[in-house]
Amino acid sequence: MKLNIKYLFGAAILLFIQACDKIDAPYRETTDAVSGTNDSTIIIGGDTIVFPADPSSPIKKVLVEDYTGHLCGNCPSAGLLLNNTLRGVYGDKFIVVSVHSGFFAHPCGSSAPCPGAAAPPGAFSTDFTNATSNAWEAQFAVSAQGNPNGTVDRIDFGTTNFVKADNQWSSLIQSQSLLPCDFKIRIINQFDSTNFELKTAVQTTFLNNKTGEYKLQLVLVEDSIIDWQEWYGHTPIYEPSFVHRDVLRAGINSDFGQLISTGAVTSGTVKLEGFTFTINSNFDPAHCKVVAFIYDASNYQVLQVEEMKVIE
Amino acid sequence: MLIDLNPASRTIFKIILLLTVIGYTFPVKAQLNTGGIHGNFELNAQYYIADSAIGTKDVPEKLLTNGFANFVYSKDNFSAGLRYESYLNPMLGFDPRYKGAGIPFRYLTYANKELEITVGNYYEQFGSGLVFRSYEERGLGLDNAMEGLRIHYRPYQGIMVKAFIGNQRDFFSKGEGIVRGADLELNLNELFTSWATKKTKWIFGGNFVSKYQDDQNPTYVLPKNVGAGSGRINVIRGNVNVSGEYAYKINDPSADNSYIFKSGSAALLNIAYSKKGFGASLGAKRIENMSFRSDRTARQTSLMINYLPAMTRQHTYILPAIYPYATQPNGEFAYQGELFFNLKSGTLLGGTYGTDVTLNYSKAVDIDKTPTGDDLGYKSDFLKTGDEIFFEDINVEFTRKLSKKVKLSLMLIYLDYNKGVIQIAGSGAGHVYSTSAIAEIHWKLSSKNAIRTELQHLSTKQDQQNWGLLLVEYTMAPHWFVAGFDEYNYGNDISENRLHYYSASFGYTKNSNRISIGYGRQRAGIFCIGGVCRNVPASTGFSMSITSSF
Repeated sequence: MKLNIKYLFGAAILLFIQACDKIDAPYRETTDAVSGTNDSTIIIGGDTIVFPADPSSPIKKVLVEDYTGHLCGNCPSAGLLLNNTLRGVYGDKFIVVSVHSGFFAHPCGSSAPCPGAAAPPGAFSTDFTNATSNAWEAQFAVSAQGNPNGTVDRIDFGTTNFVKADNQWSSLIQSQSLLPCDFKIRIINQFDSTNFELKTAVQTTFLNNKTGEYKLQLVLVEDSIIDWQEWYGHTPIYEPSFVHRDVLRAGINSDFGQLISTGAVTSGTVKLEGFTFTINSNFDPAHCKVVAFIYDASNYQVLQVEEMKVIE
Repeated sequence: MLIDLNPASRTIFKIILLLTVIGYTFPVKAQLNTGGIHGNFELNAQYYIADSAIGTKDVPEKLLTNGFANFVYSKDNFSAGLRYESYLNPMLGFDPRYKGAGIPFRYLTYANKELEITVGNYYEQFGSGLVFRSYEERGLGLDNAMEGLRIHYRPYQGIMVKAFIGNQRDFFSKGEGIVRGADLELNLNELFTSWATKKTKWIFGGNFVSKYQDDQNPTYVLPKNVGAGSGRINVIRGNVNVSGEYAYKINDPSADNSYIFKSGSAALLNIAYSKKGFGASLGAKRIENMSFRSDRTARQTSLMINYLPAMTRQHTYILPAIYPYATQPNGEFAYQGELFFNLKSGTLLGGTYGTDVTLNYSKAVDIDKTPTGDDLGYKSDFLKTGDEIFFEDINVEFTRKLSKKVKLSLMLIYLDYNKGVIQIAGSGAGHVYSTSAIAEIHWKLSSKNAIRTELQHLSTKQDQQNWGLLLVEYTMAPHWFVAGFDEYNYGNDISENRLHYYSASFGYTKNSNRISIGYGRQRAGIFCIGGVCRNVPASTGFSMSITSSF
């Protein structure tokens, strides 16, 4: 018996020592992104997409990330603030991405405090979290400070003021929208409903001389999803037909996008990128949008954002 | 109420419930035949009151509670236990993911002289914990208990082998990563009979720990298996104790290190000398990219596999504890020295009853980092340090008995606290240089009555500027105590922030049961134990604490 146990331990230790994966370069996954053949034409998977001339000047738009969860009873009021009150005040000056992450976004059946008999079996079972929402939460820890909370253009990263409470959103949308507009973003989507393949092209124009590292991030957002939501001050408190707006579904070009420039770039420079992405067949493509934004890689601050429906 | 009882928990719960019923049905004599039950209970509750002066957040529940109870049954070579925990809802400052109640800790153990087998939950540590430490620190809301299998095996005297596999606790669920490891410790003086009488004692150890987590990251090619190992030595001769450990970890890209593929390492050395009336210790530590978690996306105190001890004195007085040190797992070089000596009684310096003097110095700085410009992150020269100072502490403490009834302690502390690194990373908050002076008097009024007072002052030109504190505590042994203190930020540059943070409490103790009730205002800050910290938000309200053991 003694001998057997010794051999068992020896074998186990040898197995443990084998349990290491040494990774050599390249350390990053290869992507199927392509660049344009010129400033206005790009070929994605054999399809040519052409951006027609557009001399119009864009306005500076603001990205509001609303970190939320279906078991967060205080969150519906924050969503309504954005989609009703502030939309009425600021129009299309801001774009919303609802990031389901953290404790209150867990689906029932995992670790979440489910309502039990107050809601029927199967309620709150939808998992709105995804790899990108989890990666953002890991990086920014917004839901870790409770929901609802958010960011506005991801300003103040690295400080205790990074996370913005809903009562700060209005004034920050106002102040951020008044900043100079450094980028013009245009998006063209082509969707194949037979295989749910999305080809999206993004044309980014530098409107001012810029120096630094700038990243382009594309995410897929699905609007108007009907599902359960805990809702304080509402009857019933567990609403089965809540309209979830602008839900972050996936990162199209990874969780934190890709570099489009380093060093000095002169005003008028155009970057044209193309992507192929398969939309989950459970999503409603008619309600899906591509949200594209440019951010400063040194501090995550978003400098411009645009959105385009998958099916126009 | 959420009751987290999976099938394994239910089975163990039923066994313990049955054994508990048997134990209480046949008391006294049954102890001999059926084993015994022991455990403990603790409940902390706070009723929160809105306090606009300190910017408290609204607490919709008003009352928040953290509580737990341990039940352990043991008989001969067998023991079983469980811990029921309740966070309804978690008190402010504790991670909201604790919300709920359930039995997250339960185990069955069989042990004889050679072998100990545990199934279920367990805590474990290899060496000083640089590679693996599973532990609970309730004050931090930290619990990375393992759930799985663990074996301790002593094939010969002087040899100890430990091996385990399992998942880590993640609030009321488990982390997705699988952690497995083994440790071997050799005590040469026990192993070889001819060494048993040698003056020098030698203990060696080594271990290897590996974690598995799937790679679903679309950006990086991540290692699914990450291994780390360490070797250690402990030499004891007479009054001298020398211990050291070196740990190495392969590439482990994570949220902590911004997904760099560099390997990690940690080195720890401690030398201590002690004899009656004199003690001295020296310690040094170097950490390079050594955060090790079973989930690469985890943050704060979640799912930590290893423990990186702080090489600084942990101040227990309230004002200097405003600026505690938190270990920097991405890189630090730290060292500490301490001298303790007793000035003999009857001398000019020692006074009538003698005087204890403790001198302590510690410093933590960045390591050398040369960016590589790729996903390896940086290169570092082991013997070089970086320019940035994280923390520096110089303190001296005198303790003297003035008479048979009065004891006086005086302490002077200088701290250089890099707030922009320790507390709010990346904020550029800068350094806080502070000097604290503390006087504590303990006056024994009678055999049952004693009064203790603390007078503290902290001065700094940075952060929130000067603080003063007065504390008075009256004890009527063996049952009652009453205490109160006022922490006053009188020197704050912003006049409306010159606030009093007051607290009053009383308590009653009987046998192993204790209850205390208090009311007060809590200042926002960070709270650290052993270099691991959590944020504490400002709050005002009534508090109650009950502890009991049986």
